Amino acid sequence: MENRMPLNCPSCDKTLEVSTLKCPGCETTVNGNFPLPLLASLTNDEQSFIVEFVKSSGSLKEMARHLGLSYPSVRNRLDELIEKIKATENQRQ
Amino acid sequence: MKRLLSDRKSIYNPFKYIAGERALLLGAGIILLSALAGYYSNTWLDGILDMHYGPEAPFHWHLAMGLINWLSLLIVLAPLAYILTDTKIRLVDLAGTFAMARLPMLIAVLTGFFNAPARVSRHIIYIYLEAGEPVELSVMDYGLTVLLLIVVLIMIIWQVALLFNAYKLCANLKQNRAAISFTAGFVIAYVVSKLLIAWLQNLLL
Repeated sequence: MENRMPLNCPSCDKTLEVSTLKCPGCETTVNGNFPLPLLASLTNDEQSFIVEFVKSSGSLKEMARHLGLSYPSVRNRLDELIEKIKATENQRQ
Repeated sequence: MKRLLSDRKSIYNPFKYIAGERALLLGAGIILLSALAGYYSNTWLDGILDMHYGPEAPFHWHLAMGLINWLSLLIVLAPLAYILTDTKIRLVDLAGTFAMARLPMLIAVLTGFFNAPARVSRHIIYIYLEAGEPVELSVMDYGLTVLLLIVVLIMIIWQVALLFNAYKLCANLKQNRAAISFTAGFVIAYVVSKLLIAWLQNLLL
């Protein structure tokens, strides 16, 4: 089972930041305060949705066919995602 | 299609999986079959929520009633959806899902093939309006009529649930906004369907 990266602090629920990065080759570690990229702050499902969207060249029709969902279902999911991204952006500003 | 059949919620919201042109094609078939069944069973769908065991009428009249019921929903709820939504919506989704949502009424029309409700109707008319001829009714006639009325009632409720979910999904409206606008639009659409059918009945029959 793939480990899921936690996005929020389990104690105060604030968005987590990256403090350590590690090279898997030479085990060099870099410490600092790095905010999560916007896309990384989305859930796995939301990230997969964006990947599908790009792979379908932004065609919701093709995406709907590929996911086995109707066009309005896919479009509504995209609208929800847009809302979430806007809210995250506002939070960061 | 597999996902549609395996998802239990599809019974009142199949539109998560089917909308647009496919739904319109299926819906057109449902309206056509309902008209055929209505023609052969003398069952009138004379309003979005109405089903009556009526006199014989030509096939084109049954088809006209089916189309009026569907169009009444579309001409009232589609503009509402366009006004209230914050996103891009497609008319074909609303048209297709509204047509598909008429499926329960096709099942309701099939009850018209049983004689019992019509016999009970004739009996009531004879007793209370003193018109027609006396009808001998058995316990089976009463029992079957009650059972079929319950089936029709469930089909009408199912149709409203399907229509609401179709409207909510295709217009991407949230709970309260969807519920209030749908209720208002649905009542208007019902009145429009009744008025159009009454007007057309005078012209065609």
